[in-house]
Amino acid sequence: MSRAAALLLPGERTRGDLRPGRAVLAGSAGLTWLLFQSAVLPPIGLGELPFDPLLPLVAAFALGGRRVEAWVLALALGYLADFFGGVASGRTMLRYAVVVGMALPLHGRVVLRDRLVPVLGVGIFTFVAGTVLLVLLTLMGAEHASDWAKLPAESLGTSVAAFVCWPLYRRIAGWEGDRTARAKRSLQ
Amino acid sequence: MSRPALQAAAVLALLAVLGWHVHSRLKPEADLNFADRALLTVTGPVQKAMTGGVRGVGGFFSGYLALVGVEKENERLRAALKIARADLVEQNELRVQNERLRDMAGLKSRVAAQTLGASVIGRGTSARFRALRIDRGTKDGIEPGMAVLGVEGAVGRILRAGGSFADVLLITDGLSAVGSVVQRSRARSVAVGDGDGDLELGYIRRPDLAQVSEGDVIVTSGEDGVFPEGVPIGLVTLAQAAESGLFVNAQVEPAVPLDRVSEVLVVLEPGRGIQSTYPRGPVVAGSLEDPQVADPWGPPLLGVGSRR
Repeated sequence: MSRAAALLLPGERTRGDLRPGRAVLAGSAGLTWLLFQSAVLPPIGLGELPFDPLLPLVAAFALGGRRVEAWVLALALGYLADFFGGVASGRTMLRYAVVVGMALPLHGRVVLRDRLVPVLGVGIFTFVAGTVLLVLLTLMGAEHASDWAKLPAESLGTSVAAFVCWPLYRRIAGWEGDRTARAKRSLQ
Repeated sequence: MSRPALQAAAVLALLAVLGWHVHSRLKPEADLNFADRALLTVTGPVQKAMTGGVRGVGGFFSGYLALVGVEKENERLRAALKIARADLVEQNELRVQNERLRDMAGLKSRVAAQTLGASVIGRGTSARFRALRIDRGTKDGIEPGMAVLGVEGAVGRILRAGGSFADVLLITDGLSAVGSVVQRSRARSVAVGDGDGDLELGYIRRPDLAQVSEGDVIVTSGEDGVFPEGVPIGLVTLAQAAESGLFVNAQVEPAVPLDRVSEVLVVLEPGRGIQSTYPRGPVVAGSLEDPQVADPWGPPLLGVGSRR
């Protein structure tokens, strides 16, 4: 049976069902956060945050199976994050792309009804993507010893950020129409 | 080839391209591409407005929020106190701003080269890189590679510049290296950012350990062609012979509190020196916490206070 002819539940989208508005909303939210982080947080002593709240947003799109939006978002938000990071290194873009590459195949294979599984997943994604990046930088001779030391705390911090932000990110990623959400409502 | 295999190949190809992109950017790009330029033009004014708003409101709230939660019977007195404190905060802000501007004017007069004052409007969000964004750009004559100074010493260098804004790579960034001299012994070295807010002194050989000790002031050598000679970089907080290796392990705390710097000077003529009033001679070694040392930075750089 072809993919297009697959049986769909009411409200369920096909793979070709693009919703660019969601990605634009996520990109705008990401840009707003980066502006806030670069201009507002440093003067009040919060310049260095040990977490990345944008990574769970990218993961939310990927885990939701939004293939095109997730890739576009990973590249766009990664570019913006690198730009606001001060040095256009491309590292965040690569990290987000690794996350999307890991998360997309998990769509439909893991149960995402509550926050815990996604939060655990985001922690693992952060750690693995960070490790991939650092291994790459090590091969290039550009890693720094402190980068490895920061990775566990960054993974944990990003997990906590995901725990707090996940309900919002689910909405932005447009999960309200998916099977897990309906199943949850039907059980209530 | 099956569709999943094609998709996997496409993903791997994309990751390979991104990896190549990272490799090509190991040395930061000085040129802004079209997208960067457009982003800087759009987001720069927003950052400037947000930073200005936070600075304006921040001083008020720091004094004001402490009053929240006091008992009701004191409300009238508290209201009067609030007004008085708000006035005081405003006056303090003006005083601090005035002092800062006077400091900047003082520094300007000491730098022989032509300089340009700028305000910090944003900071890098990356945990890996250390950078600032300032409200001056190519329209003001700023170009990549120019030195950026603070009241207390070296801040960084211009990494890239757009029309009205520019990014500054701080001296504490892992990509930064500044030609330096130990002020007491005149031992030459390179101050490299450790990416964690401090610097490390490179290329002082183990037999020359006596040339550098805790409390020594490190200044720019001027040999890198970026920073003027004699600008304070920082204070040595650790100097020891490593268990292995050819060189001394020396850590330097930056002279400028880089997490709080809000005004800077851009040296428009790279490599031009500082006037002779700048402290060049040997200074007494000591730690920042040592009360016996009046001011480890020697004579006040700008005639106003020390780095603390």
